[in-house]
Amino acid sequence: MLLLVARQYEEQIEEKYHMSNAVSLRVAADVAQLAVIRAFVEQQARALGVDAFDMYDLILAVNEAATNIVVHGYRGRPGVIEIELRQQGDAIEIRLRDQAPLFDPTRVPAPDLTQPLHKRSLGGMGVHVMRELMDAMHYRVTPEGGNELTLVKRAIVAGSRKE
Amino acid sequence: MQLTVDQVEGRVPVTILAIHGDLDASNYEQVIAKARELYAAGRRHLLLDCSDMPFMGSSGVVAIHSIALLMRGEMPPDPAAGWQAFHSIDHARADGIQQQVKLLSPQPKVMRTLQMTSMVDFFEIHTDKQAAIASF
Repeated sequence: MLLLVARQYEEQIEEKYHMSNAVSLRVAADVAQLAVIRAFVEQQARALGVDAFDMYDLILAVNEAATNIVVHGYRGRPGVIEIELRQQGDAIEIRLRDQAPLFDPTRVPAPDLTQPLHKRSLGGMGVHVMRELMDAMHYRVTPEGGNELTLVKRAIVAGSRKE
Repeated sequence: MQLTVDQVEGRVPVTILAIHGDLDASNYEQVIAKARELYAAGRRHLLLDCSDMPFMGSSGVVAIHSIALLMRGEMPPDPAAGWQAFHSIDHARADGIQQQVKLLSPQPKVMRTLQMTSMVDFFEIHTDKQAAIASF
C-alpha cells in the first residue's frame, strides 16, 4: 500500500519550487488521492523541520480541507485540487485551490458539541477540526473564479521559535 | 486500510473489529458497511480496535458515530445517500456513554481527533484488551 501511494505520489506530484520557497502538488479531486496529499504535506513539513505533533495538525487540517473540496465541492465531478505549501517566517501557510462551485468554509457555523450523540449531526466536523488546529483560515475567490483556502499554522518551523 | 474481525467470549459475546491503516473519506464507508454486516449477523457488542490506525480524519468520526447508532438498533443513513442525509439525522432516544461500542487503544494522534470532536464524551476508551472485553 505504501509503495502504491509512493508511486502515485511520484507520478502525480507537480512540484514547483518558487522563489518564495513554495512547493505545490496538483492532484485529481478524488478521495483516493487523500493519502497522496497527506504524504505530500508530511514530506514538505518534515523538510522544513516541523515536529511530529505540529506535523500531524497540518496533515489533518489539509486532509479535512481536501475532503470537503472533493465531497462537498466537486461532489463526484472530475476536477483538480492544487495545494501549495510555503514557509512564511516561523509559520507554514498552505493554500488549497479548486474550481468547484464557490464556497467559503470560513463561514460555516461551529457545530454544537454539547448535543448528545443521538442529536448530533453525523459529519460537519471538518471545518471545526481545521479551526481547532490552525491559527488562521482565509478564503478568497481567485482571479480565475475558483476557491482558494489558506491555512496558517504559526511558530512551528524549526529554528524560528522565539525562546 | 484493512479490517479484521475476531469474536471472543466475555460475559457476553464481543466482536473485535480492528482497523489497520488510515481511516479517511476514501474508506470510512467500508467500516460502516462491516458494522452493518456484523449487526445483521446478530453481533451486539463491538470493540473497535484502533491500535493499528495511525490516522483518522473526521470521516472516521462519522464512521464511529454511525457504528454507535447501528449497534443500538438505530440505522444511520446509507452513506450512498449522500452527506446531506447525515446532516439531517435526528434521533430522539436517550443518550450517554455507549454500552454497545467501545474503543481500544487509539493512538495519541487519533485521540486528538476524538477529543476535538468531543467523541471522547460518548465512548469508553480502553488500553487493555482483556479489560475492554470484560467491560461489556
